[in-house]
Amino acid sequence: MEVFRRIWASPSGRLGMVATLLVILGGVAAPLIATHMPNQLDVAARLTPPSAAHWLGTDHLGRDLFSRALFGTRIAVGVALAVTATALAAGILLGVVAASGPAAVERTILAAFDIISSFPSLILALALVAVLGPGLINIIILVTIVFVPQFGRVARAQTLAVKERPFIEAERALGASSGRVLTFHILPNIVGPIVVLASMNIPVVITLEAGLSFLGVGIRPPLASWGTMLFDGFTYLEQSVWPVLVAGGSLTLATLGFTLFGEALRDALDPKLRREP
Amino acid sequence: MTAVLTIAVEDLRIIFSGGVQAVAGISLALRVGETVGLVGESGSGKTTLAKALVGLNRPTSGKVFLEGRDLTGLTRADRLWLRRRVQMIFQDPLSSLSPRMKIASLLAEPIKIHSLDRRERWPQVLDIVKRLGLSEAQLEKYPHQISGGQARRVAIARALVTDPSFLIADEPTAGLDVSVQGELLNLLADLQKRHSLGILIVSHNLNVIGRVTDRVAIMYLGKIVEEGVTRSVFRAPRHPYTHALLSANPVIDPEHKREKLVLSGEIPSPSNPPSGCRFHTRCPRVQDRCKVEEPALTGPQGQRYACHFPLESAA
Amino acid sequence: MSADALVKIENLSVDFSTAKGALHVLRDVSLSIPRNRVVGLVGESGSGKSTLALALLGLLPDNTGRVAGRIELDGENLLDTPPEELQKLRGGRIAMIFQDPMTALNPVFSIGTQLVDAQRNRHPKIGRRELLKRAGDMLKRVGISNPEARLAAYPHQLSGGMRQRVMIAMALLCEPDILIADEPTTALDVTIEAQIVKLIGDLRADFSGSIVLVSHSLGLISELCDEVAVMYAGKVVESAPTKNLFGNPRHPYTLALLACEIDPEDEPGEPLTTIKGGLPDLIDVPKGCIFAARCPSRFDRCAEEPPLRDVEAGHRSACWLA
Repeated sequence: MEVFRRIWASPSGRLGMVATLLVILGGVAAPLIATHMPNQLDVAARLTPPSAAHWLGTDHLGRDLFSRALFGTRIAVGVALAVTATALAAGILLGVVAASGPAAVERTILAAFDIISSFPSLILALALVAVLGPGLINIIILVTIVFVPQFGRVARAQTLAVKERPFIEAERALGASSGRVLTFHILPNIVGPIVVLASMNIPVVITLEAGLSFLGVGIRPPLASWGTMLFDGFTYLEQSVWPVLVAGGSLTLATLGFTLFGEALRDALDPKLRREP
Repeated sequence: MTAVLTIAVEDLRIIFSGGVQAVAGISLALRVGETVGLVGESGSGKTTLAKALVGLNRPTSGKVFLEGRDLTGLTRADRLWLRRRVQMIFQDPLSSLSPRMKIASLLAEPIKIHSLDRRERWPQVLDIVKRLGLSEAQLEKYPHQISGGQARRVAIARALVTDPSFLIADEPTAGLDVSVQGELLNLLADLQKRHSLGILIVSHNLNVIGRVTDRVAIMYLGKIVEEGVTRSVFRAPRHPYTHALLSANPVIDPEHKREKLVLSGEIPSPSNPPSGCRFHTRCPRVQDRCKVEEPALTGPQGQRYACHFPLESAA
Repeated sequence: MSADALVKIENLSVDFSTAKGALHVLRDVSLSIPRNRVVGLVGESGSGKSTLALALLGLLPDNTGRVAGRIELDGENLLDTPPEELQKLRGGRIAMIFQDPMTALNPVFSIGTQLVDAQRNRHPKIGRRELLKRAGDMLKRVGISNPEARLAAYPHQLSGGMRQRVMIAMALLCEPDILIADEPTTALDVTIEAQIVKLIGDLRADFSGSIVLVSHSLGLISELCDEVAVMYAGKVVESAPTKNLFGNPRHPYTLALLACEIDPEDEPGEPLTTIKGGLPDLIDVPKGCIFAARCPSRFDRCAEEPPLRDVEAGHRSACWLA
């Protein structure tokens, strides 16, 4: 709670927190708030501007943009959270193993990290889609693979640093086993920075997913995704700017919110930036 | 080596990767009920030796005996037993406490690690805590929420939880003001009597060592150069290095009466120690023989020294 | 004595701002530093001795709140001096030796470059070649053999003792009027400390400035200083020529400190002397004598704060009993 108070104390942190909460609430409560079903067609009202019936207008099939944007939030945030959580878990596991295991294991893991991160993330994702095929589950799996190395590297570096701290030696002198030292003394001290990294990672995943969907290799229609909405909007841009505005606006709000929140979280958790109590 | 309550090393060598001979053949024993001082400058290997006594450094060769049992193999069971009987207090008490654990959990850890009976032990822990002047309210705090002095007490309390026979204290007074260092040393002396502990104090503070220890060992570049009854060694050192150390020790001397013996040069690298006597590069009494022939530790039990040309004895 | 003072500190008070309120680190400190003398500032942690040294350098930390009083260097108040002027004074008339030379030396520049830069304030017109030559000569004077090789070296390639010698050389190259040494030997081994102490003693002969030695070690202070000021909880409680201070201490805190010094010749087994209690609260500073709460000779009058006054020529104590 102390952390949230500190985040709230900075203006950008407050903005980030509000935007993040709005996005998450919108996604969670989408079925309750939405005025229409996301895939409900109204061919009579195609590409209309905002009106009382359609608060943010309609797209080229007459679907309600407000409702689609809300349901798109579920996809965007859901994918981002699933990917980040899985990548986080896998990264910590591999990183800690690399830092404490035998040298051969460490070399193998680091080599795998290097190979994955030597490709630009979008290119790698495209290549993996070509193998696995598009679809929600596949998108989650392949984007996770893209993001494991950065968590793994930080986890490894943190573990190596914590292992050198005097209390680890003190624990060993007390007779603590390696397993005990790892679980009770190393892990709790490395998660902080990694969680911050994870929070900063969420907007990156959101844009990557939107990008893949925009290119047509991500979320398949008719599921509402900001990326596909953006793509459709572009096609009909000359007739109405609203689809692009709504999809782009949602994307901006979400990424900006999570970024500001992540930065504020990092500052709030960094003891060096903390004022003396 | 008698099987009584002793922790001892015999011809211990510890060579780190890169060829650093931190400990180069040392024999030392610590008996229950006595306080031994281990003195040396940085690079002397004193901390490496101390850590070997709690099983934190694996000997390259030589033997470690605890209460008559040879622990050289250091199996997992041996190690656990050793770490229950021999506890260490680290130099910086605050950083030796795991930062995300409450004081109570930190104190309970040794009980869990050694599968001791919690119902029987916990009241004893609380008793130690109280005797060290810590309140029960402090048990609910995290290490960074307590003062340095309190952290030091927590570290000491934690070392006593398993009811050890031996305590290794690494620079216990480092960073302490003179007005409180006495308090800590009095506390250690009190605990020693109460728990009949054998205490090894590793320190570069000669005043502390001279005052509170029964026996002392002086280390230089991985070797013991002189050892014996503290009083005798301090009153009449036989090894030139001991003499230089004692002479260099700043004491209150406003009249500038004392002529100081100032050694030239610095301690050589332990990865490439000098031939013969390791001290010959800085020794004011050096002779040709010192450069080729390494002196062995000789002399009566009360004061042994490793020097071809020792200083006059007091007698 | 005050007529010949190089530095006169008058009623200096310094507060640090903290979340809990103003921390009164120095309160009403008056001290004069005579020319060509070594003055020791001795005290335990929290006594304010390091803050006083930093104030002399004009390097008080960012969280400094109120600063009152005067620090006069040859009649000029340093507290009124603009930062740019102070910048020129440091490394010119005022130089400093730190406890940990590694933090004071820049790791990415060679020793030679840093020793040349250190002289720039003092000798802006002299060329690099000449300054480098002076640097080499100075290294030789502080006992560094093979100075040419050392000039090309980087700080991490030198041992702790060698780095401290470089720091001393750097300070002396500034030809300062006042040299401030904050715990210069605390990080060093005993035999190296002895070398540095001897070096400082030897250098005094041809050094014309004054030295302020900040230390917690009474032994070191007694060996090196002509005069000593004992500090406790932000105040100077006693100041005197070294022989008087150690031979005839006139403040109970000084007495207590001396009693806490461990003498290896004392009978083992006897409990060691300590000063009971802890430092007073420096935010809500107690009234009266600052040492009263821990003082064995406390009496009624201690509720009133004793001024630092002359108890004999050159010997000042802030105690009603002195």
